[in-house]
Amino acid sequence: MSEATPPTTTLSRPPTAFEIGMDRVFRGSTRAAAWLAIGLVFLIVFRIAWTAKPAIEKHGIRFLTTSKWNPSGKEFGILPQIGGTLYSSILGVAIGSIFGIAVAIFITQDFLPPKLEIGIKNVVELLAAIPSVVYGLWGIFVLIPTIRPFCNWLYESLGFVPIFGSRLAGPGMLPAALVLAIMVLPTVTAISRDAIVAVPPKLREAAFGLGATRWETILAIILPTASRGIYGSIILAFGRAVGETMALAMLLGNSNTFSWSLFAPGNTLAALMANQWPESNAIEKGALMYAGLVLLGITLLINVVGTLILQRTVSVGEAQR
Amino acid sequence: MLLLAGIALLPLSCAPSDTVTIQGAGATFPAPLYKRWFLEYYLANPHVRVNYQPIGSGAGVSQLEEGLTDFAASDEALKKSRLDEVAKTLSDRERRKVELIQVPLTAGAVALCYNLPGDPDLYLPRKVYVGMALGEITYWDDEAIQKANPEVKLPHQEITFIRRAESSGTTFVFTTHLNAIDDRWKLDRDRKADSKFKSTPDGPGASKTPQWIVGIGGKGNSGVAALISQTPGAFGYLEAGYAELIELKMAKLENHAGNYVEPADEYCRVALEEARFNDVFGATIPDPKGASAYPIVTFTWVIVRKRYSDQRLADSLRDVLSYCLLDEEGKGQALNSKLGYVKLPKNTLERARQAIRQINAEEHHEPRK
Repeated sequence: MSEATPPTTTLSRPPTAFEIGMDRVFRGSTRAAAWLAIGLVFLIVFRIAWTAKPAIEKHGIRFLTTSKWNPSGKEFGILPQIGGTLYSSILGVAIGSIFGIAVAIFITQDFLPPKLEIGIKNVVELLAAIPSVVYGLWGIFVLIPTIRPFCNWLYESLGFVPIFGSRLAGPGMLPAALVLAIMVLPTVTAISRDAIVAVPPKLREAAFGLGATRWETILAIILPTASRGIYGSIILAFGRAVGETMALAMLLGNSNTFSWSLFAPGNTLAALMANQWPESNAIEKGALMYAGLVLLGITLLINVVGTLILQRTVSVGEAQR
Repeated sequence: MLLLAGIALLPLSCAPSDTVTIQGAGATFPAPLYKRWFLEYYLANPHVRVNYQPIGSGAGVSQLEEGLTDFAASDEALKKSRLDEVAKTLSDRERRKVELIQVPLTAGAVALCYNLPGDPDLYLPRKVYVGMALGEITYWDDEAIQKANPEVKLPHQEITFIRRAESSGTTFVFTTHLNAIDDRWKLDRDRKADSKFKSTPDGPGASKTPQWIVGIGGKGNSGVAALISQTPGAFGYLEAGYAELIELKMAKLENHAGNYVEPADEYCRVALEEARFNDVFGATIPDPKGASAYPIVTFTWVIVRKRYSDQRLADSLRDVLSYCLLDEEGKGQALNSKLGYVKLPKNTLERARQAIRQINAEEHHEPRK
């Protein structure tokens, strides 16, 4: 084709000044947008830290190790809230991940006709569209009454085990963790599914070719290859769980105590902030911002630790391969 | 006639600005009643809309202080010092003198509600309900409760105390009462030297955010109501109107005179009559003495400016508040008892009406946009 075209009408020519200009503008604006996003994060952190400054200076590290929240006495400590945040998130993400990854495997490994797979995927993703206040109400009116008899039976028969060490009256750690699990399920499922789908079909076929069963293929080939994406989904889920506010404020009981019992009430950093902020004065606002800073720190820590784990597992996995 | 002439003279495009919108925010305690009042008023006067946001007493006052609203509502009467502080902030910002007045609009009782199988009527002695809120009495069939209720077969069920999660005026009223009747509830510095609880650990104290010893927190009166109705064995305090709304059982409480009284209109009024108002129209009645007085009652106030920059806003607000203080069939104070609130006593009502009449516009005003 190109041979038939006379050289005088060739399409190749140097870019015009306008095109060069457009190119520069485009590059500049993408760069500006990227820096703006980073700048915004720093601005937010700076503002929070600035408001929290008086509280940080006044309470220092004691803020993290004491457990009294007393605005009228100007004593602030968030140990139980830190404990509650971590405990509820770890439980919720653990339960959510087990189910989420199971669903992701189920809808990618030809257990179902493709149309049904897509259907299930969409339904699970719909869970992400439910507002958290609805989850909270569902927890209070449906979940708690349903699990209460079983929980109290556990308490009565296994009450000597610390995690069953109290009665589930209403709001408590277990209902909160279960609702969190449902809330993070779509995140885990969607990202894990994408990771599993991205595993090259060659690997799977080779495994079958070597005589591996489907079960062996999934456990030994598919999951390790997709592990990076799966870990990524769990970390994202953790980020969501740590910051979740409304559902936990409704289901965890807003009690400034920490207990290992799954049925005892507790509190989280996000719920504390949401509950106390509207009525707080300047001093308490500082303390709440300090709590916000701690929450930011926890999220950052989780991301860093997650990335490190990820790098480790991936390099180990690659070495084995 | 004048009105007609006015309408004829005005171009049609003026119509939307005819509506006056009054912004208010504050206590959740009287919110159901306020919403009803403002709705009734709007139906009769469609050109005045009152937008009331129940965000909590303290938050309401803060919004007023920031100049975001035209009036605030609070369950706790502001002290003179706080009232002056808010007025000063507003004066500084707007560079003119702002004066505030607070006026009680209605009153209500804090009910102690419970969720027990068979919905028995319960009589609670003073020592007992303090003990339950302190977590010292933990089972419903505790001897102390059973003794006061010999006819009721109480279940061996754990008591789950339900309280507010956030800072709250209702909590203030409840804890002020407990603080007045029992040394165990007091902070140690508030206990008298001869008290047998002197030098024992602090009680929760009287505050909007006391240091709870036990309990599960619900957000707002409605959150507490939902938790009590959903939790077998629950016990908690909330505004009687909310309790009535979802038909929770309310305990009869032992009052100062030793009688057991339910939070009914007439018994609350007996308690409210004892109020002694201070010079900024505030009062607390931590432990009424009357023989038939219900022990936990409070007024609830609105805080308004004396002078608004806009004549129509001032006129409308004055008119709305006067409506709330009317005592005619189906209007104002007459709606109180229907929604579980209590009419203001006669002399208080008269004084409140007088206070409201002070609301006016500034002499030289600019139209509010």
